[in-house]
Parts: sequence; structure tokens; C-alpha cells
Amino acid sequence: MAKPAKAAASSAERALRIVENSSRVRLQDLRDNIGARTLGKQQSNVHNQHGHTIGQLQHAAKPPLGWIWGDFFRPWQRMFPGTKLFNADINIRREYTPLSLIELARLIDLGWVDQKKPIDIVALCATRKFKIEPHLRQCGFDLTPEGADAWKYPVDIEVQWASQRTIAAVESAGGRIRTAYYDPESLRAAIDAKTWFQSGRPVPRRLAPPPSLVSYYSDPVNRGYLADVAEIEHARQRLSMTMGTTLPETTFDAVKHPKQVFNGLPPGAIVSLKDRKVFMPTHPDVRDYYEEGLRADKQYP
Amino acid sequence: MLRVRLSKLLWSSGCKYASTSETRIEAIPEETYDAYRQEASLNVSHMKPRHRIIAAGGIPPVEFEWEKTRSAARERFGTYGLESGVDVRQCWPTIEEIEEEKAIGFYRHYLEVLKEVKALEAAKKKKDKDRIAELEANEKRYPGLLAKYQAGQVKKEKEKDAQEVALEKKIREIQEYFGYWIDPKDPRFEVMFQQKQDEEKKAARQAKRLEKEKKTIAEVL
Repeated sequence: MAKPAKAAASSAERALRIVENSSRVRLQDLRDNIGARTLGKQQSNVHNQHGHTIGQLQHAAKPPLGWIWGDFFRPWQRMFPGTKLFNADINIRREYTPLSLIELARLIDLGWVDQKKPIDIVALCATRKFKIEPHLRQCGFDLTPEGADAWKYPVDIEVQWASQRTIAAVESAGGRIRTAYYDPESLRAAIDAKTWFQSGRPVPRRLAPPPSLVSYYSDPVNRGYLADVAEIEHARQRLSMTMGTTLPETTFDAVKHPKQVFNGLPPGAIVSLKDRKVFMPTHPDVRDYYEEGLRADKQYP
Repeated sequence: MLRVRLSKLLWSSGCKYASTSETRIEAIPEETYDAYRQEASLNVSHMKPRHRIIAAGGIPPVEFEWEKTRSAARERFGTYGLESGVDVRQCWPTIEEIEEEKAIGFYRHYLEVLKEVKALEAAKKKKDKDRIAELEANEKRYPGLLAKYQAGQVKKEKEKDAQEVALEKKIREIQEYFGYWIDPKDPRFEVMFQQKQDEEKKAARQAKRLEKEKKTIAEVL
């Protein structure tokens, strides 16, 4: 057993003792500090999956910002519904998929959308480039004004929400824009017409907006589809004066009827794609149901 | 399609097969048996007959209970058209369903709703307008009211009666003497006030005595 070293009086003495006991520094003594170089570590196969991993949160794809880990169907906004000021209506708020003018221009340029035909939610969803989920309260498209400066297509477009700049851009290019409401069932038919027809369900009668949206869609300023035509023309002139643009003379076909979901298909029609035939109801009660006056959607938020 | 028929035939005949040789000859003619064997040898996919029909672009037969429901019939019509043999009338809502929807009354007439919304908006507009008018009137009256109030405050200060002033003075004195504020309603207040007065008197007396002493010393000197 080694003799225990005599206790050093000071740190200087201890250092001196270390230096006395150590060998001379030679070339082979030179080496990196610990941790200066590391070798690559072989991960186990499940953890080496190009961004897709299993297991714990620190390895997994991260949840959206603001998400607190827990029950997915009971988010914290619902667990702590304390303040009315912040996200009070998060569970009932309507969502509109943003579609900018520049994106729409690109769709037209690439031939996904025909600018000569009326562009509506049916045409936009038929491109299969957008996913609208009515059960998540997504209600259609919001046409945003990015790319308004370069917009030049005289299109006839119908979206669910539009800003004044967008409206001005579309109209100054010689187009026509209308904002229109689709109730959830009509929306379900419109976003996937083929599936709807193949399910054998009749084309639904489109409902007018619920009370909370009536004022938006009957406002000529928003080019609402329920607004008066003469008032819309007046609002058009006003907006062009405000924005300092000129309005080219243009003519378009009649707008889609407020009760219609698809252009050229009346409500109540059953479409058989196999036979290339459209069937209409003959029973007077059923016919009345589809042909009666415009009904408003139920109050939802 | 064919195989289903044949296999059914074989199955039904299979029972007879055990009984007598006569019935066996009746149930399975040789050519049928050959056809079955040929078909079985051709079916290399091992799909079920239903799926073979679908894959070949045909209409599968109604096999299961769920296929007899109305929604399934609708879907059948939507997918296979008139050839499916489904009555188109099944696809529209029934009179009962229409009546029920009307009875629930979820969907009111648009014009009715529009009228209601317009009325609500007008009411809100009127309320806002009234409120703004009220605020404007108040704003006009405000300088006069403020001046009046401030004058009243000054007057109040002046008119404070002597007793109150004395009490305030007393409080201030006590605070200055002891170094902290004490509530005049506190029973200690009176005691402390008394103590303070006593101490002051004592100090005054001492000062008097000192002066007297000084005087006498001066006289003696």
C-alpha cells in the first residue's frame, strides 16, 4: 500500500508536486481536450427515419405552436376557457382557406383553372390542390390581395370572402367577383362533386347565410351574392373611384342562382355519371321542397 | 359470378352426392364439372367472387344485409346507374323526412331572416347614435361642471370648521412628535396626546428653571 501523500500546505505547493511527479512533455503526450472530437453515433434504426420518428416528444414531429401536451380533443383553449378576450370563439370560428391572387394566376397559367369559365369553389376544388374540410368549420376560400398589382385576368370568380383590395384588383382587370355562402351540406357537395354524385344523393338546395352572415353577403360593398345588382354596380363605381382605377366594359353570363351549387344543375337533381343522365323529382312535395323560396341556414355560431 | 353459381350448385349437390349415385349424376353433369375446374384453374388471383366481379367492372350482387339499406341502395344507384336496378325514387328524401325537417324549423325563410337582421342592425345603429349624442351633450356640459366642482372643492376647504382644523393640527403634531401617524379614533391617541402635552410642559418648566438659574448666576457674578 502506497504511503499517503503528505497534505499540501497550499495550492501552489500541490501544483508544484504535480509538476515534479509528471513526466517530461513529449510529442506523444500531446492530445486533444476531452470531448474535442466525437465520433458519429449509430442510431438505432427506428430513430434514424428522416424526420419521422417514434416515441417521445423530443424526437417526434412537434405539435403546433401554442399546443400543450395532453388530450388532443380537449385543447387548452377548452380546458381553460377563462378569458373572453382571447380566443373565446375558437371552437365556433369560421375558417376560410386563403387563396391569393398570385396563386390563382399561377393556377390559370398552368391550366388548372379555366379563366374563360366561371371560377367558383367547385372549379377550385376540382384542381385537387386545396383541401376544405367542412366538419372543421372551414367554409371556403378567402381571396387575398397578394399579387394584386400584377393581376390581369378578366375572370368571373365567386369566393366566400374577399377584401376590398382584391375586389378592386379583379374588377379593374375587367373581371367580376362575388362573395357567396355555401352551407355545410352544399359545401360537401361542391368540394367533391364526383363522390357526391356517386353517393346517389341529390344536389342539395343551397341555403342562404345564417343571421350572423346575412349582413356580409347582402352588402354590395363586399359584392355579396344576395345584394341588389344596381347597388353592386354603384359600389363598383365607388370602389374604382376610391382606388383610382378604371373599369373596363365587360359582359358576363348571369350569376349562379343562390340556390344552385353547380352551374347548370338545379337543386334536387340526381346525377348518374354512369348513364350520363340527370334525374329530377316528379313528386309534387319533393319538387316543392327543392323549388320553394330561399331558406336561410340555421344559426351556427 | 359464374363461380358463385357453380359452387352453390356443387354445394347443394354435394349433400345429394352422399345419398345415391343417381342424384349425383343429375346434380353434376360432366361438362359443368369441367367448366368449374377450368374456371378454378384460371382464378389465380384467389379473389372472392364479389371482388372478381367488381374488378371486372361488373355490378356485385346484393349479398349482405347492409346492402339492403336505403343509403346503400342510393350509393348503388349513384355508382352503377340505371343498370343497378335500384329505384331512383329512393334517392330523394321521403315525404316524412321533408315534413320532419319542416317541423323542426331549422331553416327559416331568407326574407324573414333578412328582415330580422335589418331590424337588429337598425336598433344597434340607433343605440350607438343615441349613445354618441348623449356623450356629445355630456362633453359640452363638462367644462362648466368641472369648474363648478373645483370651485366647490375650494370653498369646502375654506369652510372647514375650526374644530376640524384643530383636530387636523393635533394629528399633525402627534405625527411630528412621535414620528408616525396614528388614528384619532384610536384610544391610544388621547393617551399619546396627553403624554406629549405633559412632556412639553415639563420641558417648558425645565427651560424656565434654567433661565432662572442663569439669571441668578448672572446676578451673583
